[in-house]
Amino acid sequence: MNDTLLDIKDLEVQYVVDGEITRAVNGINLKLKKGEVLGLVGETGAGKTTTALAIMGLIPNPPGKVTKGNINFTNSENMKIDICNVNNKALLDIRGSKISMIFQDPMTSLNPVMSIGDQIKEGVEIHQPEVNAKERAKEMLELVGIPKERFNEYPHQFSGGMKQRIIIAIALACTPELLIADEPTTALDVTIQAQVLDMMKDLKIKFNTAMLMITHDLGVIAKTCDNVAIMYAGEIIEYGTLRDVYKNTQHPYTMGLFNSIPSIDKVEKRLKPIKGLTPDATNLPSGCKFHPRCEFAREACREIAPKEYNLNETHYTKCLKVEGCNEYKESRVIDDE
Amino acid sequence: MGSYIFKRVLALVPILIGVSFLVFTIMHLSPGDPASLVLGEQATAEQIAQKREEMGLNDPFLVQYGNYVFKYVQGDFGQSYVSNRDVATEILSRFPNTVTLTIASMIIAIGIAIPTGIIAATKQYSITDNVATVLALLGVSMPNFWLGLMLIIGIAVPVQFIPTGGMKVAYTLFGNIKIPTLGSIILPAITLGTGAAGIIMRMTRSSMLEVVRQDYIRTARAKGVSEKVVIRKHALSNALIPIVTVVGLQFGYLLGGAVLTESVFSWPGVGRYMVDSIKTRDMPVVIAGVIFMASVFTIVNLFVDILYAYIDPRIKAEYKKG
Repeated sequence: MNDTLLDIKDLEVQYVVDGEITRAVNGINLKLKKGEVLGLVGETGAGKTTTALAIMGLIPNPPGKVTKGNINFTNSENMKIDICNVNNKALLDIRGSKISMIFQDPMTSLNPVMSIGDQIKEGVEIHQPEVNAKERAKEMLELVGIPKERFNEYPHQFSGGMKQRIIIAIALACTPELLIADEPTTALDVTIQAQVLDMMKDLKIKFNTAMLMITHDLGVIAKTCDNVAIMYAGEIIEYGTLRDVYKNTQHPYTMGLFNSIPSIDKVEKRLKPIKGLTPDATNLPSGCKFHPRCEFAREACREIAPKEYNLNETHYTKCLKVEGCNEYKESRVIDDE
Repeated sequence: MGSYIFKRVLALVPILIGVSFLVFTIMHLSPGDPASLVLGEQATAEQIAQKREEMGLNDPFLVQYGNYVFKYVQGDFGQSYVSNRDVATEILSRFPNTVTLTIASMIIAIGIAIPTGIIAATKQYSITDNVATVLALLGVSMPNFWLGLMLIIGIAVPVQFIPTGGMKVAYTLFGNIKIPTLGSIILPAITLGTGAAGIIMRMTRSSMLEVVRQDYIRTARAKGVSEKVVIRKHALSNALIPIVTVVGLQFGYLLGGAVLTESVFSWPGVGRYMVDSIKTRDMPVVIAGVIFMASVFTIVNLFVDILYAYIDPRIKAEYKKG
């Protein structure tokens, strides 16, 4: 049996604003197995959220558009659907029932004039009319640790952490096969973060839901994920198991990320940040998109866009230096004029 | 909630004192002698002097004002100088006509404005949106009296069953609430409705545009809620507060008597009565009328504020606290 749940092939997403093209996602390939937790890491503007919205079929159009590639979703009944090429009705059926999403900011992601109970049961009413939605909503509330008596209360009566748990309850109410968590803990206090992550882990085990965990927090990834994909300027530049990426880091950008977090073992005076800024998505650099910030960059990096280079069965990266190709070896170091 | 309403009603008192003082001062300073007005042109100077003394017009300004307030508190609004009839009865007998016209024009305004506003917002920058926005601008900027006159010339004159003015009574409820014929109310209602529709439509559009960009709308979409339900259930209920505010304000204005429109269509409402009374310097009517309008306006506003609590639970919590 094929146990691939999600198969993203060569996905490109662009936003067009006033004739200017923003290339948010530039040909990413990603596979997700049933029950797997994949971490998607990257700086702000790397295209993580856009990727997530593309999987939900929620890219705001206009201005956004999937310009290339497909997102194949195979559900438990072995029905294959390409989310990029499917009618609206089928998309509505998948959203919230097969794939659901937890959003970044719990403070603004709940409808302020609707009781939280109604918000949880809404999805169930749409997708599982045979289920008693109110009972299910109450179960979900208890599951995320909120007393079911608070069913009729409104979002403003809850704290940030509780709101995030309500959002998780909404996302899980129809027991989806894939849960996309877009920085689920970024807006929360550290203590609440740990609570929410533990809860998500428990729920994952209970429902065997596959998860796409989007974050820029490498600690969160280490705590929750099986596999990791590092995104930079709309591309996945390194992918592997948690062990591959954390213990056998290859791409200079990924190394830079790890160097940017303080280590408890080493005595360090200063952290080593990655110099420069995320490139402007309307004007991406040629060749390897990381070359202007890369300390190992050579002239070849400016001309050749690196391909996926497999280090082992589970681990690949996109870097000419790691690849060790002749063009890289023979070209000169870029000198900063 | 109860204590909130009580506080708001209490706040009505200073408003009414302020309004009454202002109107009284203006009427006091305006030229014309009420005594000669009451007695007519034939009266001798002696008769007028005697009448002035009788009416208390020789008392100091503040004493006169105090006397008015004292009588008002007792529920005595005085007699009209012109008809000699009780002012309160005169105003209240016309008020239902104004209410009918207000309701009719608000039905037209809301019926046009809210659906167009929603469509314009969901299809921002489309042709529909542009046309609707231009029409709304036209509605807001068109003077009521001019539109009224155009409608009379263009529709009432050629069409038989639509009168050029006045109120034709179809039937009467409870003795004094008169239901007008459709023909006689349609033009004044359209005249008043277009202005209000323009304002309400623009508010609906901008409020909806702001709401559809919110994160919770995306959450609703992510649940698999269809676009229609997203707009109707999630977006509209959040966009409602500013819409209800402008609808309430418009309602208040119109209830106070749509002065120009009522005059153009000779509609027997409070607004036209006020205009007539100002023309004849019928001081008791003008003062009582303005106080009446101010009260109606504030009461409508209070009603709108209470309505907020039913739209937004956060505001309800706020009221309970206060």
